Amino acid sequence: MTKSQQQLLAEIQQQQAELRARLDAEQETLTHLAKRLWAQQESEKAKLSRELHDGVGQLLTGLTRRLHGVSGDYPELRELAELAEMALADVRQLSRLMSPTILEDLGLQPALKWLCRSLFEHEDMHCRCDINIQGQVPDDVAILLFRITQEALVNAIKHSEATEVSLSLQQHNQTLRLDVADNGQGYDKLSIEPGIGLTSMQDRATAFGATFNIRSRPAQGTHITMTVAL
Amino acid sequence: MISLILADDHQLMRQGLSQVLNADPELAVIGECGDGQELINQALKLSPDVIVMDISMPKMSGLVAIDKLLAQRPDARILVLSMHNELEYIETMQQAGARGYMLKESSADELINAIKLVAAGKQVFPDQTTTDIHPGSKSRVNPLTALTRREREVFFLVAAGNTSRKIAELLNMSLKTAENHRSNIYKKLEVGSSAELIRLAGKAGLLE
Repeated sequence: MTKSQQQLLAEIQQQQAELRARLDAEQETLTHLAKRLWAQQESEKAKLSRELHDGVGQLLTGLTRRLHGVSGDYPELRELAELAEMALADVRQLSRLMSPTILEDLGLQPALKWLCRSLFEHEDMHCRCDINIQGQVPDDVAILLFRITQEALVNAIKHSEATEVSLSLQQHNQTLRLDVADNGQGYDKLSIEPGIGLTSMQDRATAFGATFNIRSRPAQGTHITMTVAL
Repeated sequence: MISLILADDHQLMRQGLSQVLNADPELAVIGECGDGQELINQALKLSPDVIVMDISMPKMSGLVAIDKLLAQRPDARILVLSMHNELEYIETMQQAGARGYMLKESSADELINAIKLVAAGKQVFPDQTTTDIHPGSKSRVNPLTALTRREREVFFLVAAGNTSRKIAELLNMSLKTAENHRSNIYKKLEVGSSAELIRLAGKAGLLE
């Protein structure tokens, strides 16, 4: 190789290194931006959840109490009070799912158990929940795992027609692995357009450097896996 | 005399509670605090007989505070006072070492009674089979498939808010027959009242 060729090669290598560095920096900016967007979305959900709880929730509490107070021997009024009570329970549940204070209060394990129980208690499917983690999970990773699990379980309830759903979260050293699997009707990946839910799970996982994978085939259920470093 | 420390980040709640508890001749509130860290400091300094505390608090959550406190004072008697009636809250607090769990919607008498029991070394937890009851229905199943044609007519009239008397009139049947249909429908759909039936109809998309 002549000297001028060597010089040219060195220049190209340097340019490549600069381009790679710029690409990495932009990638990092994008990841940072995506994380901020998710954080923003969480804080808006929390605000709306508080408004629901403190606004409509308080009004319904008042209404329920008043109706119980005046119902006395009138069965129809008692039924109205009962309806108001159900509306209150629904509003509270919605508010809790929007902003899971249980995650902040008790941590990931009880929060996921609660999610499983409250989503499935009125469904014709059974949810098995096996969580095995040691120590603390950072807040941003905990909310990521909670939201991905929530989306996966809601999808299973809405679309899978399954009888069994299993949720597993296991820790291997500094890695957490989440599995959500159902025995439902599954789908052909090629024949459906990924909806907002699936794309958003994928995007959210990517923003946190997690690997995310969905396996599904017609009549063979759906299995979602995510691994994320602690 | 049972000495108490109250920990809750809502000052009004704390003050109201303090008044109610101090009114009982056997109880004396000796300290109040608004976050987990302050609670630990006060509990170590004042050694109260019972600590009455909320879970959601700034700086340090109630759960972490219980952990830290019991690490230093394993015999501390803690009664959690919370708005959350979910099973997971009660279980987690029990596992963390709290001696009792009461809901904020309890009456003053119930709370005072629980404090006295905890002070006497007893545990006070709600019956977990009855907590977090959320009346509901099998949302994905069309409820109508279980009903006869006549029962379906009655179902829609009940869902529309009609009384048995009105239904009997509309469908030209005796009141007793209308009531029989109604009770069969309740049985088949596993609902206990017309309110539950309306909710079920709403969930199945059967209301207008």
